Amino acid sequence: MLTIKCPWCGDRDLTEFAAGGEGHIARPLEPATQSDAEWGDYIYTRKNTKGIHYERWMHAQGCRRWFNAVRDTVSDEFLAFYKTGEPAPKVEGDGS
Amino acid sequence: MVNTTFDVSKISPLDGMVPPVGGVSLREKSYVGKINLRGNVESGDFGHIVESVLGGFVPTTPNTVVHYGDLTIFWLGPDEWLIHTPEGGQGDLIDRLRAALGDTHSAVTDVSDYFVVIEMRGTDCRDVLARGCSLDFHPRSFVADQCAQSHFSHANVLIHQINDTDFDVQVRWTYAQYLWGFLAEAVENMAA
Ligand SMILES: [Zn+2]
Repeated sequence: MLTIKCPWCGDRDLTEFAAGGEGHIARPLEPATQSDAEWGDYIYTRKNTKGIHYERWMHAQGCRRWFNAVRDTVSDEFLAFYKTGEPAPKVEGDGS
Repeated sequence: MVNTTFDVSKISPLDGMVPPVGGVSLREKSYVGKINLRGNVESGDFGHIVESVLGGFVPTTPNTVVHYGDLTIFWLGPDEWLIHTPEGGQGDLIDRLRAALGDTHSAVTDVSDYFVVIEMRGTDCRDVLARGCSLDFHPRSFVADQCAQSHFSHANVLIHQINDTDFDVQVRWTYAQYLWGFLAEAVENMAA
């Protein structure tokens, strides 16, 4: 069974969580001045990483908080979990 | 003159449900007052204002429960708590919380009719819970006045351990019969 570590609740079953896609994508601070291309980039462009991926998760059936995780998309192994707002931890094998 | 007095009778989705026969007894804890409270305890006045109304600080350790007088307060998230009051006590407490909080960034919501509470009593509670929930209910990892939000099969639940053996399970109104049926069947299967 795949377990995910919520930064507040600890280790829980995968079935309690919802995946939120790539992390650390900041919403434009000045929406009015964004071009269509810049909006398109913000909304649609993703790294689609093979390997170390920084991503968002939500403890949907638990404390309902968003947080970040580092996952190897090849092995599905989770390498780190950290709260929203905390800097991304450097993990071994991260080529980015 | 038309008589405008209505006789409002309270109903529960668990009215008429048959309790199982086995190592765990099931009973609804009827009409508990429930308040959802949100605010930031890490900065500003919220924590101390709420403390002055409740008689103590809200629990800040994840998944724990505290008791102040006849109030029970559950940690739901770093900025979210659930308060259980005696039947009918929620209205007054909501008024007092809102009055004390004033413009402080917060939310106080009456969720009394949103959830029902099922009392599980008996030595087999941990085994019955394990039939539908992946949490570790062994005494080394789940103890009295610990709580956890998870799912029991398809139902979203808040599980609260009362003492060494007993648990309360809170579930949404619309899932109450489903959960009761699942628990009752688990109890009877274990007894068979
Ligand atoms: Zn959590």
